[in-house]
Amino acid sequence: MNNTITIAKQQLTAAEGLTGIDQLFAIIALGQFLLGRGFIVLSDVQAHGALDDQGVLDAAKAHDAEAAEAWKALSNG
Amino acid sequence: MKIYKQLLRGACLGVITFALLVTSACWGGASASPSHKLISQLDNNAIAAREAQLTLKELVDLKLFAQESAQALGGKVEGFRAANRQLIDFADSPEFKSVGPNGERVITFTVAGKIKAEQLAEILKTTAQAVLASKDLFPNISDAARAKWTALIQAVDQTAKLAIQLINQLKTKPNTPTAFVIAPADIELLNHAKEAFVE
Repeated sequence: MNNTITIAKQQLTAAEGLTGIDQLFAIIALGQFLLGRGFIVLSDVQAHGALDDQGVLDAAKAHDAEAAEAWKALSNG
Repeated sequence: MKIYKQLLRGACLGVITFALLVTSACWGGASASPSHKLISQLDNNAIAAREAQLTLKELVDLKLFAQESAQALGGKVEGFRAANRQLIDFADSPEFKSVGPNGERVITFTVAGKIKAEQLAEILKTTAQAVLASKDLFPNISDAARAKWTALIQAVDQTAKLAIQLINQLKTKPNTPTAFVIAPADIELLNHAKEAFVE
């Protein structure tokens, strides 16, 4: 629990730069995003059990392409 | 309002930590075959890279993280992703998957292919270490999760050494000096070496 609190303080120190409702909206938006991503990650990882080797390899290629796209979006600003 | 804010902060960080633990701790299930665990790990690496980049982008969009810092860290994740992609392609190559008529695994590890495997293992290890060294990238990662990643890096190194030792001990196929035929019994040894990826 102490670790979680420390983590929370470190991770969202940047949010201190915002004020009032902007700060709250930013934290809510981030929370929604991460919650959604958490479910997607769970479902992607759980899919391993149902796929054969080739299926996992194909999934890995698809996830790799998504990672490359995400990097492209980040690097282009 | 202050309590709600703290709750939201805890929820955010809980999800991040959980996602990282899932992607770093799940190697494909206890009952899965070694090869399935290996490629599941490669898929987990791709998922982890995707999530890292998406989270960085979201933090920038929300003005919670500077663009320059996010791009610098994202570049390291991209290096990790590129190395992981090479291993995915290698695992999907006919050389990796070829099976002989009597059940033996015929791995046409050419000299070039052998060097490539060694280089890829080294690239993956180096880039993973660079990502891990960036404590700013995952300030929230728990010590336990960080230890698992460190163990994985050591396992990659150990597996590469074991595989190379095995390959060096195998007899070359007549008239094909650059190919190796691995008997079923030796496949077990190779699979044992691969287990280092998942333990």
